[in-house]
Amino acid sequence: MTRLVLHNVSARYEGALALEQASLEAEAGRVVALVGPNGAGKSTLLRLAGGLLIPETGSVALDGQPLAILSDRARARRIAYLAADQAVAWSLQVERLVALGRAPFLQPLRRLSERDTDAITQAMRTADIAHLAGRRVDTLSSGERARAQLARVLSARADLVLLDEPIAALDPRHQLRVMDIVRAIAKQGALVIMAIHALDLAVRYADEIVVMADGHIRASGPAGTSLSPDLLAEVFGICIDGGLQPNSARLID
Amino acid sequence: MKALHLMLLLGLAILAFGLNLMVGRDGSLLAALMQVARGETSLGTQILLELRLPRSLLGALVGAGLGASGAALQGFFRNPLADPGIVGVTASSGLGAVIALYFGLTSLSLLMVPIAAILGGLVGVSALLLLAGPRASSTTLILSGVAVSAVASAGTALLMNLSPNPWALAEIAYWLMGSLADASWNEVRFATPLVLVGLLILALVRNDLDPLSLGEETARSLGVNLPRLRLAIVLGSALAVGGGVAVAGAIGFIGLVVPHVLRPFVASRPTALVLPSALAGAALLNLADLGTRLLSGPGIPLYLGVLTALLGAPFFVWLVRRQQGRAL
Repeated sequence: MTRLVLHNVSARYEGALALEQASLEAEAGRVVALVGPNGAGKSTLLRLAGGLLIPETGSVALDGQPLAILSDRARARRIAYLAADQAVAWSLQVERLVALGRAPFLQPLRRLSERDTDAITQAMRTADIAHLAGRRVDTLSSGERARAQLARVLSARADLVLLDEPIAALDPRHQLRVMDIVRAIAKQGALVIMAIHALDLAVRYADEIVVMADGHIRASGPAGTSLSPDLLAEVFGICIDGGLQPNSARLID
Repeated sequence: MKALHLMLLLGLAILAFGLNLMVGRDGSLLAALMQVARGETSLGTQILLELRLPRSLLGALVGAGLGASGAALQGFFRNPLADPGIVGVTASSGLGAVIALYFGLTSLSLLMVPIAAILGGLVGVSALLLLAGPRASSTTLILSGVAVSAVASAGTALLMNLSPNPWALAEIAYWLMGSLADASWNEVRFATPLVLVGLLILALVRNDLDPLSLGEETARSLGVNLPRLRLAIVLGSALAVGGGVAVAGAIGFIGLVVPHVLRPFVASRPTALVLPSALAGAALLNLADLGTRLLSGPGIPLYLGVLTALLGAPFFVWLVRRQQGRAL
């Protein structure tokens, strides 16, 4: 059972403190949403959780094992990461892009195994991009590219899935679809931590909401209670008439 | 790249090697080849075995080093403009060789020029890593490479400027133009292990180039050890290019053009580009060398680096214009 523990972690970029004394615990089957204004430290927290950034203080442990002692490949097999920057340098085929999610599992000089190709095909179907398999990435719309990158993350079938604003570029229908996917992979046993700006979707889909501001975790708890009107006013500088309601849109098939 | 394409490129490389070996201004050396097979010796077999064979081998070797380094550097920097010239390897190897020529170290040993070129290349690469730091972004690395390149070129120009006599100046100038004309078994013995080790390093790390096209952070999340990859790319290309520059002088555009031409055939995958670029580079350099031999008049040698630049530059402009508005 996957269990991630961040204990009192701090991180800085070029001297500026990006995250201070943050602690977070989460386990398999849960969807944790990180919300907060730009620059709150959401991406930093995700990088720390993914072992891509070494904390200045504190520790990050996956199943009781410090992330720092895992090899790059061993870490990559357990943790999949979707960066906020989804640019692709070359004009790769969509199918190739998705296949990169299997990179940590490849043996030198071996072709993709059946398990790999299964994972790739299924990930493309789940992310609704199977029909784009042969297209070049640079010919896609930004939303299609975001889904291709999501499929790349899904193809790893990782225990811990870190998503940095996975729905920022998507239309409302695909936002719902991606959130459904997120719920589904959590149900299959993954731990999902995602940074997200759409508060109504976070409240509807997440098990736990972590509210961040200025490099601190300001509140965390079950989706229903952590975003009080006072906190919304203080952290985001907004007020919502009638309080924050979960998103109520539905897909029409 | 499909196996068929790879076989075609291999065939092309062998064909170019054979042409550069056999064909010359005075006709073909087929008769000499038959004599070699019968164990006889003649002037023809001497030319074939002592001049042409090392020259063609060196052509294939230098071309493979330039092509593979170009592909690996472009993949690593995620930039189709990157080539061995841009990280400063070519220029700093050149400076090393020019220092050897300027101070007359050739009187000590003929191998002093290659040795100095390799040392120059390694100093250049070390300066690059020092300037850029261990966690440099690609942009920082390219800027640092341009700086290293500029300093090395300035040093070369300074030595030519201070040159004690016209002969030394001419020697330096001719060397900088790049040529396989002086190729002998000495050069082959010297360059082969260096270039092959460089190629081997590049071949071993090429799988990391595909994940890198998603950015450095995502590549790391996919298990790529970025500092190790960076070191391997720099060392591999320093050896593969430096070993070639050491014996053949500065030969431009092969490392830039070859990966560019092949990219559509590998669906733009940087990993799949490295080995085909080595084969195509080998083929192209031998063909270019054949060209210089056929075009050179008596006593007026045409230099290889001049020919590759004269043909390569317009071709490159044509490619860039054709691909404008399309991502690479």
